[in-house]
Amino acid sequence: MAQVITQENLVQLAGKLLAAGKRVIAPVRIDGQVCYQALFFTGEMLPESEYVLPRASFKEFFFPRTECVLRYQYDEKNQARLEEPALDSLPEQVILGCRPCDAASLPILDQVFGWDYKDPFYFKRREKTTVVTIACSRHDEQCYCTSIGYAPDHKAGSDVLLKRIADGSGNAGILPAPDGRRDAGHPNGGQDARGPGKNLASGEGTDTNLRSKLAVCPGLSNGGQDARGPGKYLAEALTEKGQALLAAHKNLFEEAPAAPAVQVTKLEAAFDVEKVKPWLDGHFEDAMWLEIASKCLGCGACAFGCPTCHCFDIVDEGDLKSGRRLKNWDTCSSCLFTVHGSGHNPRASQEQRYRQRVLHKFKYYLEKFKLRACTGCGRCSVRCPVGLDLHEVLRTIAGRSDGPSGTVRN
Amino acid sequence: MPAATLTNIYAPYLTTVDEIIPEAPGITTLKLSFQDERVAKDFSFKAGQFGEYSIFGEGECTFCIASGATRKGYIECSFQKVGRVTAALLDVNVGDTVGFRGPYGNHFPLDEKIKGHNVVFIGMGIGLAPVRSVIWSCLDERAQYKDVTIIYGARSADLMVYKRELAQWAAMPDVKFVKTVDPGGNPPGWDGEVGFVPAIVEKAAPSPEDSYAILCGPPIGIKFTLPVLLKLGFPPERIYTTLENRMKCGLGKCGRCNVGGKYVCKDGPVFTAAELKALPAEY
Amino acid sequence: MPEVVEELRALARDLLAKGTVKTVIGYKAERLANRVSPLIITSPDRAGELVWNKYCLNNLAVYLTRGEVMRRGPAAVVVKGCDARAVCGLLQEGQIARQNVVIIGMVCEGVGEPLLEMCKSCDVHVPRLADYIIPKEAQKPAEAAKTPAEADAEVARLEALTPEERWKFWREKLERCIKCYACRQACPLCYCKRCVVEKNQPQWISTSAHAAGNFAWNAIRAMHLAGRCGACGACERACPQGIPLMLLNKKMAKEVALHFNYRAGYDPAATPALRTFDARGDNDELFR
Repeated sequence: MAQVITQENLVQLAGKLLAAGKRVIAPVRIDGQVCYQALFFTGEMLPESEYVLPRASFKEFFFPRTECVLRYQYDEKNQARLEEPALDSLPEQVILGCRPCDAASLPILDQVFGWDYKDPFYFKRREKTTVVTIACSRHDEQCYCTSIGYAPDHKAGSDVLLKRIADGSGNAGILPAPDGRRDAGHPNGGQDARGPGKNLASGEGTDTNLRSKLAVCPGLSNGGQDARGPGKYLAEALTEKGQALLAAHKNLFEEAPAAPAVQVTKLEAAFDVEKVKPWLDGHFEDAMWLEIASKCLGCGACAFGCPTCHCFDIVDEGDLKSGRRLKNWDTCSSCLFTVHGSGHNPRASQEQRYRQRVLHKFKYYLEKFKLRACTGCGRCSVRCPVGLDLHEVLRTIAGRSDGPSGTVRN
Repeated sequence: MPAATLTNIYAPYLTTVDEIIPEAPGITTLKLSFQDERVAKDFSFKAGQFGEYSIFGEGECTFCIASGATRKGYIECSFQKVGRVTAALLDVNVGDTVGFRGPYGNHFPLDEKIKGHNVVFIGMGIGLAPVRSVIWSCLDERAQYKDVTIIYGARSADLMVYKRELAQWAAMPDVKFVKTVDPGGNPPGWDGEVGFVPAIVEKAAPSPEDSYAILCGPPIGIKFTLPVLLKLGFPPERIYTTLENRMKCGLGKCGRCNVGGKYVCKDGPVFTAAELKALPAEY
Repeated sequence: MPEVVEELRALARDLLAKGTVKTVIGYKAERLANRVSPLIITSPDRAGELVWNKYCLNNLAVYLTRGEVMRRGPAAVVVKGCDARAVCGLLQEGQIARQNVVIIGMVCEGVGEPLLEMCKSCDVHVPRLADYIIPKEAQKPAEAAKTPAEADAEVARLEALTPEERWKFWREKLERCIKCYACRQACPLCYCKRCVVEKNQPQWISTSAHAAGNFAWNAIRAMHLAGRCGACGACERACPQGIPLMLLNKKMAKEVALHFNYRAGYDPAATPALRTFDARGDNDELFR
């Protein structure tokens, strides 16, 4: 049964969950950037109208950047003893307000982390987390979820789906064009208003960030342009966990009027994703890879922000007496990712590494797990320091007729 | 390791170093026994599988399990020093602890396909290690195979591994054993062949009739031996090899070891020549 | 602006057609408005794709140490004044041979929308090291107008904090680091084939994205860049987590200017301050 919750009550819900000892993860603004963060206090929570998409995915709450998988200790007889982290003491988590393109990453990551061997670190966190998704009432030019088969109000991975109820205040749809939106996501929320009196500790006063690369940027404030103000949301429980959350806090919800109109943005698919794999199947070698990827710097900005990238490294840190074994994020873009002890590197050039990235997400993962390792969030393109636009790459691939390999330019 | 729900799949078994066997300059075999009695009793693997061996504080390293799968209670690994973890493994003493995660990967299909047929084993240098596992699995059940041929070559006599076992195989009346060293690698009194392995395989000309070939060696060695086997008439579906690639988790999650759409740690490390041919050249 | 772009395109076309260079590294327009990205071309027919505008933020000198690019032969690179400082550094450190690079210097009044803060104190509007200056008729300035690092207000505010406040500030900022190494990969002067963080015998710097690992990484990078950084800001722009990396680098540059009277990237014949040690003369004073 559909229910309604106000923005104010959503904040109250965060407060109740925090008071109950749960970890509440929600979008907050730090130094002008919007990111998913465990809340310290409810006032940090950003209303949905103030951002399109946080700068990074929420995967670190299921798959941390660095995680201890075991501790070791050598005793006086030089015998090693192991200690495993107590997963049962991980906190209960509620992700209060993620986007559908983030939630949809969970069924995708479930595949690889559950392939024959179940990764307990990932699945314990999965078990302990309730995901509340907020459908997108606006999108920007980097979004392409519908091209991949998702949607601004998609349900995959979500326990409770919230949709903003239309209140006639307009401004749904795409963010207004970059020109004239100088405040769009600027780190200082408006014109560069730094002056001698600014508090350095807030990070203002730097040229930091994505803003310089792109006038329209997910995750950053639209400043005063969105006149909608706090809204009300239609809440739909999608799973038992979702139902339990709503039931436990039913005093914060009201009954929904019959079929209220909702403000969910419309995003046309930009390309036919079904055409991508057939091309990839036949073009492992193609001049296009060099053309697209020659500028790739081989950093991890895309992979580490991506909701579905999951490659990791295992390293030991410690000394001959004690220490721990860690699982750390890694990226196939890195030049040493596949290098053998002998020095031989199967992927010695950047375009081979970039090809691996695209093939992994749109061919190998699809073949193995029947899902693409992509939800169309567009972060990779925004975060890339050299503007390597995966959306554009996919569109080009989908649009190519199967002619002789050669120039890429359409 | 069984795929049970929510066990720590990254936590290794603890093993103790029972024996350190220097094989050749820079190449060592470690014999490891499981510290946990139940594991020692229950542990089993199939020839061709590998594991992640570790020195706590240094890291993990991928090697095949080099002992025969028919031998219970212990495992062996053979390696040469290439980096931090292998350097640490070379430094152990008898009685020290080595971590072991495994067995991972697929295996040589002895039970499924090869039993009841002829089998030709070809090893090159330290590449004999994974082949040695399957050789012992085979020789421990010798009656279940028809003709057994072993061809092994190394750059020089002192670089050969498992020297004691080479002599055992040479002495077996129901095994055809050929050893070779590269030209210039033969010491005085050398009683084996002299020549690169591909040429010696051609010379030995094992019959492809009802035969399987299992080979392992450095990429360049495989590159030149494979055509010889094909020329002799071995169909690519009956030539098996084992691939190496950079690995970390060994169990299909860290995304590092794939060759095209195949994960060496899950779909391999054992591949037929036919399967290899279908893979892109990124290994 | 359009004539400048045409002048650039004509030059690139000419250099490639004559075989003077095998590669031209410049900028091209992207699908989204107001976004520009690096373009690496080898054919004169593609010179028409080059653009030049206020969105040309990347420091293209980073491609001059790529084997894949340079093994074809000499390359031309489109640079702003700040980028040219990095090219100067690469020449000083012997990473590229002078005859293998053609430097196309663009006169730049600042980039970014809004204008980058660092552009407001720029003293290299006309690149100081270049084979060509576009537009041709621009004059090179006589000498440095001011000393940006020393005059930097942000660095001054950092210095005004107490050590405890500074520690808290950096701990909070660096907590966000995810060890993606975008800073390193975007920096033309981070050209080591195996970075210190990639060495594991021993593991000098932890690769993990925890507090200690993040601090170690960012501190060591700032140290390795001290006296070499040309203040192009590529690292800070590349950082997906919004860490104010240039604050660190500018502070280091200020210290080097103060103690060694040296500023990186202005003179290809100069010896980098922290790369040499001369036992003669007054240098022993530094150790008193």
